[in-house]
Amino acid sequence: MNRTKPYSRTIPHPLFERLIVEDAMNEEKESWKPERPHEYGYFPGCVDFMDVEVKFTHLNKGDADHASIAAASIKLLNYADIDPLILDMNIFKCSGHDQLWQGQLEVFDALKEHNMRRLKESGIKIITCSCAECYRTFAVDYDLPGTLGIKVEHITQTLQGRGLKFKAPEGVTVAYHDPCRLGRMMGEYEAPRDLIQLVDGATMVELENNKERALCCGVSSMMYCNDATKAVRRKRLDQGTDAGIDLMLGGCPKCYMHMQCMLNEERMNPDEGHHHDYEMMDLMQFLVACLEEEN
Amino acid sequence: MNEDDAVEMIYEHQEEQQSLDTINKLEHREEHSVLEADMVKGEPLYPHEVTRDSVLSLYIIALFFYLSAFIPPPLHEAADPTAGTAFPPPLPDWYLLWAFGCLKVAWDIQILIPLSSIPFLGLNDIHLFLMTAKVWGTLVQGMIIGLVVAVPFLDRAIGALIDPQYGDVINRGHERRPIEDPVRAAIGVYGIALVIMLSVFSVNANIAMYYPQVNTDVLSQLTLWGPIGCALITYIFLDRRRSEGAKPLTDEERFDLYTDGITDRRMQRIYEFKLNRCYQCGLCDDICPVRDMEGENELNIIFNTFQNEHDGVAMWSCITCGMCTAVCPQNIEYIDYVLEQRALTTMGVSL
Amino acid sequence: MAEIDKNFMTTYAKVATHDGDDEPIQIWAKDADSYGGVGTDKLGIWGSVVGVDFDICVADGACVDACPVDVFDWIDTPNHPASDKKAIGAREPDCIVCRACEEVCPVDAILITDPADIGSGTTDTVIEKEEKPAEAVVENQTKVVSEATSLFFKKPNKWLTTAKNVLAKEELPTTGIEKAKSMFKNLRKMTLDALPRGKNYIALVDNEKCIGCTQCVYFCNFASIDMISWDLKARTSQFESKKALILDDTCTGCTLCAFACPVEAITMEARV
Repeated sequence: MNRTKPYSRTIPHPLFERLIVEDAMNEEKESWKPERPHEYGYFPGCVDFMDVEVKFTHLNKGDADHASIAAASIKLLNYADIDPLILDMNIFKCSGHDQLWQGQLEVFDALKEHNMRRLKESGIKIITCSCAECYRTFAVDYDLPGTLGIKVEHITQTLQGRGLKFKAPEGVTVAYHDPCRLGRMMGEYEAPRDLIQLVDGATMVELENNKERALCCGVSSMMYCNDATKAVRRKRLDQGTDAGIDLMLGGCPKCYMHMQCMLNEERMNPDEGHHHDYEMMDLMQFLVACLEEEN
Repeated sequence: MNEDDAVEMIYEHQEEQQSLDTINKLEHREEHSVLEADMVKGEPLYPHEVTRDSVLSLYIIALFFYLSAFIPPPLHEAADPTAGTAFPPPLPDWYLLWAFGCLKVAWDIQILIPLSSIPFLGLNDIHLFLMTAKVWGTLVQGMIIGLVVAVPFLDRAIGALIDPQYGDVINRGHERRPIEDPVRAAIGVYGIALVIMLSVFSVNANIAMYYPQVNTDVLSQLTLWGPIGCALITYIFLDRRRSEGAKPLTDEERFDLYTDGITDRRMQRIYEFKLNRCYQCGLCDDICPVRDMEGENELNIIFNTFQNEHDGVAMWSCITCGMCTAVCPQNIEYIDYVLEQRALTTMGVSL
Repeated sequence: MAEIDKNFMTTYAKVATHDGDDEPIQIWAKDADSYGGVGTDKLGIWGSVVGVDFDICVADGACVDACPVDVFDWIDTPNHPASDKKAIGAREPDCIVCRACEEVCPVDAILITDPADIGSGTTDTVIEKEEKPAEAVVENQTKVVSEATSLFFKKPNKWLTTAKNVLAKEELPTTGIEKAKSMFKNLRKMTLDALPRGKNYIALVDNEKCIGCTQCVYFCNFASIDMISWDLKARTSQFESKKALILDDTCTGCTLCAFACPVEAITMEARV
């Protein structure tokens, strides 16, 4: 089917993605060296950009703190006797997952080139991410194990099997929401579940769709937030209500962001009658909350 | 202007636009969408198809009638039952020589019960005929045909046994090139060589007429060992080639081979080529969360892709959750295709 | 009481400063006598970019809710007849000049002035008044209470609070929030410089360019943007055919929507 005119369009994206694109196109040539050598590097992703974005859009009413996912991850890594090098956004750039999936290959290549150079300079052996999308991008699209010999881990894999102990302040029923990048694409279903099992006092239930059949949060590359994707998210939240949970845990800041946004929107429009009486949290935040009793 | 006025204006505009759209659609039928596919009817069986088929059948019957009525049958002289056995004996057509050979190589299957070896009883040996050569030779032909029929069923099971490293042989099918799979190639060569040797064996009397030293014993040994030798040579040769570094083709290499062979068809892209593995079981379409939400006819991402209707919404509404790949029996990575399409359209390449 | 004086920068005098989060907050008053310090009933106007007339403020909290960048905090002002606490623009440099607070204030006690305009027409007669020791004591007792939670919005966040409390015990390294903030601010500044804005302008949507992504709806502080279904093409989904419509009776010309639009479909036009 030949079209008469070439079809091209502008991609809808939130503001912070535009800033990431701007950031990607600024070339930084000067070299950088960490103060001391580290084995582990921790990549927080663009959580801070998300924080500023949600402040503008009034959607999260100040209670969605994405940066706390990064802070929680660092705290948990320290708790597990790992001293990670923080690969923060002042030195690194966004991993480029969203740009890749939106089809902006130029931007992705620029981001990839920058990050690969910085990773080479950092001298780390293992990179761990709290974001499932960054994890997939580093492991598959950057192919870090093949090119730089850096092992890529999701933070749940790093924390798994280190003899950590957690205790929930009170009894709680939790469910784990599989991010599609971590689950279906990278095949990691067990590490987060193992971590939840470690929490004393938390009962884990499975949602109706779990593991490879898990429902997506709806906006995996920040493309559109439309009625269809909202319906996907609502269906997922409804499954949480059906399972009778107190807490839904995600493994990706994007899942956290979109679910929080949905929960807030429901509460802003109480007439529509959609109501979910539980919290959405990132797994890292939950584990940190359960650290308290142990200390 | 307040909101109500604006909404009213928009409704008016919409009605106008819709009528224009309808007229446009009727004028340019080739731009029809998938949604209209329900309304396009094919030709009815009666009377169109029935009439056409009847006319064609009658033409053919008339032709046969003409031929049989006006051309006499080309029969030769009647056979003479008193004549001696012809030498060399009459042979079937060349393509049936192997079956003839089967009948010839078959021997009577009998069990000898050696009662005479028991002393003091004075009994005779008993010959139990299980199967005569004729029956067995006929059955062998059936067995060969049956084996050919059973190949698709045996193939996967044997394939999984032979190549345990390819555990997902059911999913991905086996390799097509002989070099990728020497065992199966050797079996194939054995079959072809056996058929050829059986054909040669069946004309043993004719051969013996010209070359007396190639007698029946030599030929039967050749029929037994020749195909096995061919198969061994094939296996050794192919296996050596494989160990030299010839690897199974990746999807990209297959794609190159495929595009090299095409000159006049529309060029395909690599992911379209990968999509060709799809046999349209529809699992992906059923599980797609976007389609699930938008309803049966509204937004059908994967179906629209196969209809080449992926210019707009379908491609951009995909949330790339990977659920289709998770359920796909062929492991087709549909989202890679979406990725490629998005990259191309972002760069402004015409679809 | 009347609304805030629109020309307070030229007619009022600088009488004192108060500590803000980053920069000190300028306090303006008609003359030295009309400022009595915290604890009295004469407070004047606090802040330059975010000018809040404390003598008018009734502390209903609308501005605190409306502010997208969280500029406002509460400050206790005992003995004031209008209310005993006031909304103070504690993080004035963060202001993005969206004028949301101006719009929501029920008593018109807030005036936002563009930072670019400050300093051009202000008076040079500065009456720096020494703060009385007695007032300083009162000032020390005032505490800035941050209340980001909204009135109409309740949501279970027990676990999140627990996690945040645990994290607050220890100072953990940041991961680039300063960079993100400054980039957002620069972008906003560029939009502000590039577009005309104010009460005399209104945002207009170019329907040809609009892709219906609803970004502007989320950014608008005044609920003045609606998505209207246009049914442009049968084959596109209902979402694709939606276009933004800006309602002129609530639009304040703050350019936030133009700032948010990914395809530059929103322009600012002068009102007729």
